[in-house]
Amino acid sequence: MLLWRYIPLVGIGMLAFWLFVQIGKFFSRRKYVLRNYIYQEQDKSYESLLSNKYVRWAIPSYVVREANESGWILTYSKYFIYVATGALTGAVLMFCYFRSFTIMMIGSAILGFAFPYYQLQKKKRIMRDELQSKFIIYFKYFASYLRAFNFNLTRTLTELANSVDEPIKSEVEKVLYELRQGTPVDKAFEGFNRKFPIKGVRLFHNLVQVVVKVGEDDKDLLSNAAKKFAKKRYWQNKLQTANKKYLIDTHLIIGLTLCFPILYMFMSYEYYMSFVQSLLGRITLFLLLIIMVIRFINVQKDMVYDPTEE
Amino acid sequence: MDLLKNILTPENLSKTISWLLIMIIIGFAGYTFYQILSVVQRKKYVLRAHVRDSPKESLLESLIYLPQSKEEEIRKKLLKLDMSNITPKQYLLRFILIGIVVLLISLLAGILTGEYLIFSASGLVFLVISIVQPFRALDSMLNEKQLKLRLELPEYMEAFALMLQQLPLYEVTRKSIDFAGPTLRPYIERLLVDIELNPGSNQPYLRMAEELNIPEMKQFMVSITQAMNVDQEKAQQIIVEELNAVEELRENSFMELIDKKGFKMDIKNFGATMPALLFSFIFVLYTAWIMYSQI
Repeated sequence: MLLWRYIPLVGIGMLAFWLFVQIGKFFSRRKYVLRNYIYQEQDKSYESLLSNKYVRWAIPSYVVREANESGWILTYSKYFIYVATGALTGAVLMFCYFRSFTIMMIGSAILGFAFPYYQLQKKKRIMRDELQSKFIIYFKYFASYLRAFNFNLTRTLTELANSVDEPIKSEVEKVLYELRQGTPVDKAFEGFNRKFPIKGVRLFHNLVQVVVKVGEDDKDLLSNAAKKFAKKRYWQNKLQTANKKYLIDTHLIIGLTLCFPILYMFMSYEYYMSFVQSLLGRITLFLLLIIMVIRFINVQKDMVYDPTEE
Repeated sequence: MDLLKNILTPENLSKTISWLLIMIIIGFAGYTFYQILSVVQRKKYVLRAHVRDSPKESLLESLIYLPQSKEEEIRKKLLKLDMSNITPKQYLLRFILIGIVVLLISLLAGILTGEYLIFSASGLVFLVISIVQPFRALDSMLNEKQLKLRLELPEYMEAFALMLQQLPLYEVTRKSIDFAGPTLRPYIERLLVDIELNPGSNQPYLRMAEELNIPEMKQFMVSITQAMNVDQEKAQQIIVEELNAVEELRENSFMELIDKKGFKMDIKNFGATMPALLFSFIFVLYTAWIMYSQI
């Protein structure tokens, strides 16, 4: 009989299942066991969804909250306009590729939810760059005001709150409030440091504490720290400009690759139709799309790459 | 000519084309899998538990022959990469097992289809790669870690030198751990433990610089520990000089990073053009296959 032919098939199936289980284990490895005990009383499923990196980009409340926290005012109506735009382009693209309504619906849904998240990341990148240059100004003002007001921290901060821009301003006011409540200087800046987890900021505030305690700054500690921060930003910018060239190249390659199937559709319509509706064609197109998406995400990550931060 | 005509029959051609198609699809799937892995994979350098019972050699490990000198070399490199929880033979086994699994799968596919030669040959090639690859992977991982350390050091050294102008050395060391990047942090943790064990000694600092094996850090630590023994004015001078040296290190390491990054991106972009070519290749082969099968 031909039955023996199926024995290797069963073996391959078992191997594939084993591989699948291994990959699943790889993804779902738990890292923070302690956290489960702490958050036991809260709604666990939602929390775990938000902390899951592979799911949260599709949750509207997460994206809207993140956007508003980073300073981009995004309402739900605006969010869903973005979703509709993304879904529409996705639908056209997917229908051209696969000629199947089910695949079109799934693909357009994924692209629709990915579009506002992509916008959020883009806005965040711009905000981060702006924040860094705002910090340089903040440091310079801080150093000169502290000397001008004879190392009186409260007066310096009062004056600073009037002269710096928004995301920093509200934090300065919070520090001022804490100082007036009687919090020691070492702990007053803790919330500030946590809100902006940049090493230069933490260093500057540490130095401020020391300088205020000693009551003099004859070695120009603060202005030196500000200079060093600016110098690091200079090199960071240089790295990003070098990367920008490759970003354009990669976008070009991705765009051209996505045009290839459409080109073939125009060249030989009948063969393309039969190719796309066969299993082989669908798998090929699917793999093509996945590789392009991964390449796109990787390039976006490279643009915000900072070798010294986690 | 007759022989050629016999070989180039439509049936034979369509058969070879169909096999080519399957091979390309498998390669394509492998490439995709590799891309997904590159997204997911992330390395973390955590201080592992140093004291641990040395595990007994398992049967599989005892099958591998490894010269003593080579084993020691690999162990040293693994220790530097904070991967000392696995033995050199275990490290090699991980790669070789993948090769063997692939070989078995390809042999199975060969039995299933009757084309033993193609599949077993490709499996064997993969096995050879999996034996050679681990040694190269170790070296490249070490290089990458060294560059990361060189990038993280300037920020740490700056914070160290700036705080040292007003605070005592011990307090500065304790505070400086906030400014160490993820790669550097285990070293600083070890330094703090070392200082607790040898209070008032310069040796822990020099030992850490020795361990890091970066000349700039060595020079920095020697100067800093010397600055503690001279009067304040001279110490200030030394620290300012060191701050300038730090700037040089940062410039060099950033330039190196930019060059390396550019090269890597070039290769990746070249790889990203492959799917389009493969797609058109598959499409053309598919149409050819349909045409031949219609004849």
